[in-house]
Amino acid sequence: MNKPTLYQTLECGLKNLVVSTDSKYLLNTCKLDILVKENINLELLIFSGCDESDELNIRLEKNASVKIYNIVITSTDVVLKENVYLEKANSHCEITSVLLSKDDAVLNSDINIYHKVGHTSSTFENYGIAKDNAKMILNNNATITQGASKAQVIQKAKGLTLSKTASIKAMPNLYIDEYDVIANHSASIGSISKEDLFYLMSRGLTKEEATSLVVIGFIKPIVDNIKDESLTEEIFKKFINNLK
Amino acid sequence: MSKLQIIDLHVSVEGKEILKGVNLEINTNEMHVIMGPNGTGKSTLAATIMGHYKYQVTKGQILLDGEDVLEMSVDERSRKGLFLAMQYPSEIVGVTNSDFIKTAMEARLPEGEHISLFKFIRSLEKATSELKMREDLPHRYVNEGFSGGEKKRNEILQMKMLQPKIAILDEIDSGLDVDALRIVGENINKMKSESFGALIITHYERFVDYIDVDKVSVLANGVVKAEGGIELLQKINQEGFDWVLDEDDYEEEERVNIVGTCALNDKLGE
Repeated sequence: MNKPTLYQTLECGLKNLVVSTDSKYLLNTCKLDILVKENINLELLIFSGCDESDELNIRLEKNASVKIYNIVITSTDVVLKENVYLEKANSHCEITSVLLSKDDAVLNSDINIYHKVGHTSSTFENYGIAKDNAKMILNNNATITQGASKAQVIQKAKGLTLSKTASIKAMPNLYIDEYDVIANHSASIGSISKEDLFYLMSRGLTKEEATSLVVIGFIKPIVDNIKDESLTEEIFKKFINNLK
Repeated sequence: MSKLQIIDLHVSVEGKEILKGVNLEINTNEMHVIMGPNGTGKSTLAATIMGHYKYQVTKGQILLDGEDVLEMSVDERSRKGLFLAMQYPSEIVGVTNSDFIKTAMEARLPEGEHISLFKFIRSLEKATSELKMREDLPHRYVNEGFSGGEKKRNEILQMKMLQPKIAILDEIDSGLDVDALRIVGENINKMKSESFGALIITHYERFVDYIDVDKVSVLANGVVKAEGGIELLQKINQEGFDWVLDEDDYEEEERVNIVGTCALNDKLGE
C-alpha cells in the first residue's frame, strides 16, 4: 500500500497509547488501549483484511474526540471488537464501518459505546456487504448510563447481501438509563435490486461488473470522507478485487 | 447494415399472454415508429428484446443479423449492438454518470483494454453539449435526483456514447418539454446511418416531427395490426386507434369486487 501522507502507521505490538496531540493513525488489527487527552482529536483508520481478533479500548477525556474508520475485508472468521468510553463532558465519538465478508467467513462486529456522563455524543454508521456463504453480525451497543443527561446517540446500519446464502444480522441496540437524551437507531438490509442490475447489464456490463459497480456505489460516499486519495484508491481497489 | 427480426413473438408475464405473435423487422438506416393504444404490449416488446427477467418468451424468435438474441444474456445483447432507452430508468446511487458510461464503453473492448481518458472526456462533453444537458452531469450519480426530462436525455446520452446498431426507445418523449422534445428528436435523427437504426415507441406525433420516419407499425392487443409509412401517423392523429381494433380486441374488463371494511368485518366475524 502507498503510505498515506496524512496517517501515521501504528505498529502492532503496542499495548497502550496516550494521545496528547491531534493525530491520525493507520492501524492494523491489534489489541490496544488508547487514552485521548483533553481537547485532543484522534482519527483512526483500521484497514485490514487479516483474520485475527481485534480489540480496541478507547477512553476520552473532556472535549476530546475520536473518529474511527473500520475498513475490513475478510474471507475468514473475524471479530472486530471496539469499546469507546465517553468519560468526560463534551467528548465525542464517530465510528464508520465498511465491511465485506466473503466465502464462508463470519464477521462479527461488536462495537460498544458507553456514555458515562452527560453532554457526550456518538455517531455510528455501519455499511456491511456479505457475499457467497458469508455471515455478518453487526452487534452495536450504545449505553447511556444514569446521570448522562443530554447525551446524544445516532446509530445506522445498512446491509447488502450479494447472494441467497449470504446473511447479515443487524442489532443496533440502545441501552438508556437516563431521561433527557436523544437516541435514534435504524437498520436496513437488502439485496441489489433486480431492476438496477437489468439496467446496468442492458448497457453491456456483466452481472459481476454490474454488482461491483453497485457495491462501490454503496460504499463510495462513505469512503470518500477519508481525505487521503492514495488510501481511498487502495480501499476501492481491494473491494473490487474481492468482489470478483 | 444490420437487421433485427422479430418473428411470431409470443410473450407472457406471470402466465398472461401479452404479445400474441408479433412480426417486425428493424434495419439500420431506418427509423421505425411503433404506436398503439395503452396496454397493448409496446413496452413488453421493448423489454423482451433486451431480455428483461419478467418477460417469458413462449414462442417465436428474435434475430440480430441472423444470430439468436434469445440465447444471449442481457449484457451480451447490449454488446452485440442492441440498446434500450427505458421509460423509467433506474437510479444508481454512488455511481457517477461518467464512471458508468466509461465502464459500459470499456465493456465493449477486449479484456484489459481501456479508453483514453482524454478522448472519453472530450466525446462525453460533446454529447452532453449536443443534448444541452447540465455541465455537472458527468459528476452526478446515475439518474439520482434527475428530473423526468433529464433522465430521458441521459438515456439518449448513453445511446450516443455507446453507439448501438439498433436502439429501442420506449416512450423517450414522455416527460420532455417542447424544447427538450426537439433536442432529443434531432439528436436521435442525427444518428440515423448505415450503422444505426431505431425502433421508436411513442404516443405523440409531435415527437415524430423531428424524426425522419421510414416505417410505422401499429400494435394492438399483442399483434401488429397495421404497417405503413408516415401516412399512418396522420391517420392515427385524425382517427385514433379505433379503426385497427376488432371486436375481439375490446376485452371485457375483469369485474373487480370491492369489499368495504363493513363486509370485511362481517367476514372476520366481528
